[in-house]
Amino acid sequence: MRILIAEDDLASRKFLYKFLSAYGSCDITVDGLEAVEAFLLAWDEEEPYQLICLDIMMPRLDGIKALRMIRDLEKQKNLLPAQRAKVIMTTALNESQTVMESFEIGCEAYAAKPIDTKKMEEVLQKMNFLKG
Amino acid sequence: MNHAFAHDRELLALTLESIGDGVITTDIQGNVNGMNEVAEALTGWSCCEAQGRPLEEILVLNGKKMMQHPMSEVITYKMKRGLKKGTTLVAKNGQRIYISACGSPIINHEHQTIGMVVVFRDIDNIVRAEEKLKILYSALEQGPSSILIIDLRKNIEYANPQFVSLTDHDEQSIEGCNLDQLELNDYLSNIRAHLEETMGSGAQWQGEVCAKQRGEPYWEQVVISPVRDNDEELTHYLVLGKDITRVKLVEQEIQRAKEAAEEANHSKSEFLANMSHEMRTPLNGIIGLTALTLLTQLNPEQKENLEIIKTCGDTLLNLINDILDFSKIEAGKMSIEKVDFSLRELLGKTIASHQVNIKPKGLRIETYIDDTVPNRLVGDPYRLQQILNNLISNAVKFTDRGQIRVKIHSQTLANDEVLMHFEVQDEGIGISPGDMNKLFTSFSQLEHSISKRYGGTGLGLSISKKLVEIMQGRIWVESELGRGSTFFFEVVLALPEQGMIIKPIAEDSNKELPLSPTVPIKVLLAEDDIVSQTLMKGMLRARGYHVQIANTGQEVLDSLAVEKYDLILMDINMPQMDGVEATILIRTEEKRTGEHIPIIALTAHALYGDRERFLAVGMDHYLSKPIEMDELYEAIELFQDSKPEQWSGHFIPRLYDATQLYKQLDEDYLEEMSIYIASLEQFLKMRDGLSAEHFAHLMREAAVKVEENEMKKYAFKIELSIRKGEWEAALEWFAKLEEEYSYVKSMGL
Repeated sequence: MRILIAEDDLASRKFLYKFLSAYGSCDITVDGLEAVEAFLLAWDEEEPYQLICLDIMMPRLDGIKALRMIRDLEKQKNLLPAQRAKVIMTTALNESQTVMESFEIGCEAYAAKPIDTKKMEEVLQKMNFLKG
Repeated sequence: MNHAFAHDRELLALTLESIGDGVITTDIQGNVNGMNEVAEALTGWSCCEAQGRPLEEILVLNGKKMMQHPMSEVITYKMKRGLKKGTTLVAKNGQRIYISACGSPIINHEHQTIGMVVVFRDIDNIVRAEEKLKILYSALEQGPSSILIIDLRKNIEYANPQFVSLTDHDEQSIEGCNLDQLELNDYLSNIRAHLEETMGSGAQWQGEVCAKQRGEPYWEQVVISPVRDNDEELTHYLVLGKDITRVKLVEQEIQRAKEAAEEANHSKSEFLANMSHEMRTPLNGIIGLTALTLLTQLNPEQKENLEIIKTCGDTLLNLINDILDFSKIEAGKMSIEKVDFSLRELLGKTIASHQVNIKPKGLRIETYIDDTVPNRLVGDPYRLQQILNNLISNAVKFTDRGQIRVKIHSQTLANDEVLMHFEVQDEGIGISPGDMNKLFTSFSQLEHSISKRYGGTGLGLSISKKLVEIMQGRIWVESELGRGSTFFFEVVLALPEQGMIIKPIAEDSNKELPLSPTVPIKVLLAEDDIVSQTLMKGMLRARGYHVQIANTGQEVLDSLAVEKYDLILMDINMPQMDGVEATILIRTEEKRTGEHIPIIALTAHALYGDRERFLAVGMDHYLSKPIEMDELYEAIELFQDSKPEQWSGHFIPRLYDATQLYKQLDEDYLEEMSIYIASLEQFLKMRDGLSAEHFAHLMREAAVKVEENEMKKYAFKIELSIRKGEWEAALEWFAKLEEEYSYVKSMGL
């Protein structure tokens, strides 16, 4: 399974990479623009990402906007909801505003940093992602 | 001849003439038939002119509600008549004066009225004086000040209503009374007491007196003055009280506010100090133990993880320090040291600490110190370094290529002072004129997205500016967008006095310290906190020192009694007997033995005044927590006989000098790309992830600029692979990139 991580902080990036590598092959991007580009690239290669971890606070393009673009692109390709990538938003902020927004645009889960690994595991399990 | 009669008549006539008042006589018709000189003078009529005229024409009167001439009834009713108060005589020339007058009928022996005589007097002065008095009296009665007039025996001659209202008597009962016999409330007692003082000294008294008016507190500014008559004889005392209640209340409020502010300020300092301690303590644990663990046998993954932890810890410490510095400055509690230090060594140390950031970017730092710049200076090297670090790290952050130049000049001033001039110049992205004003304000980072990209709190320049200003200097910038920026700052430092011995703090530079020291020494570590104990023990043993632990001041003394130590590391905060007390006892004992064991204070509080206190009780040095390993080693070495070599001041050049690449850069992107590709290949082969990713990124951006999508894709792929550590994959993508590049180059853009 291919996983896309978008996270601008080095330490968080390393952590997510190590943690999620257990579930699949991870690609690391450092801002929203790269994330969208990687997403498109993966599509072109016909190996789209099934799980995307988006940090909300990122330079150039933030997580919310990236999420919006990814969902729009998926719509353009006429994907059924079940076929869409599962998205987990991560952030150090605690604003309910951003949480609401992301859920409205369409994400599956929301994790506050520092990430609780136990919870993350549970969520991934619920999404039927298994450790390989 | 009737000589006697004639004499009488003459006498009478003379007498009439001599009367000091005006006299006018009339016949029975009321026409004037006689006037004396005074009457002539007062009325302005001469006797001849007035002769035969009616009295009303000569003695022209004017008064309030005067219906008819007051003298008109004298003859008719055979009655004496006077004038109403305020009646004026209008003289021939129109002048008016107040007069009093009395008109009487002249009755002969046969009881016949034969005429009238009016005697009148100029009372103008008196009346005018009376009027003035009336006005004054109203003022005294009705004015807001309280007034009391007493005679020399303290009889109350006058007390105005305002005064009376403060005495708890009612008006009738106070005038005419004697002050010694009245019932006195607090106010009146006070007044009487001050009166007696004044009467004794004969001088004026002024002061504040408190009273109650209608149950509310009432304050007066009271003046008691002696009153003298025209002959300079003391006749009365005047007590005058002005209402200052409002002022007094405001004063009290200000006093309360002042106390509250001082309390808050005190709390703020305590808060800062406590926060400083609270935040640094656990951080100390994290950073220190991580550093320790890094010294042990680790597998690469563990090493990498720990290095990241250490970096996070260092970053956090920098952030906390920035925030605390900023708060300290805002609270006005930032103080600057005056310590002897070497400028060149400070600069060397500062530049060296930035090498780790310069290497991957292929940048270089050059320093130029003018020959005339003195090397030893007196100032705050820590804060100076802070400013330089801020400017240099900004230069490194915002520059992708070229040189960073640090220049220092100086100018000697009077009083053994020197104006130091620093410049930090880069060839980076530059700053637009519009953004320059925002630079030194707090929280400024010129663009939110840039700030996220370049990191930092945004407080650095603001703190630098405040520090520079505290050092009587200024800081400014010159910049051009796209070409680079130069930051300038000037500060006033002092030249060291001859013969002054101040131990320099951590003077020796940042170099690779060997793990085994030259002299193994016995260190007594006085520290009660378990985490700190473990940390310090670890650091000391790593250096080969012998360590003995003491948990309290008493244990320190006990240990010293049993064994000889080379050095004591003394934590200030210990239970039962703290570090300061222990030091005092040790030094006292040493006066007897003539010895001196070096004592280094360890403290979590690094506030102004602490250093003086420690030195005063006999400590030789101090370190503030969290304690860095090299700081600790340097401090200990200061007290050893043999010192390590001096650091030369040059950094180790890179194997591959990336700066050479930039000499060829011009606007031709393909040329650029060929350089990027060459570098990228180099770093991929060397497995230098940071540098390789940097050039892959540059390659990607260049490809975007020329709209070569394939190259962009390959460059991105290389980046992604590098991040995952998949070097083989990266090299594969690189091969594809190179191929595409050759193709594009051959085709032309």
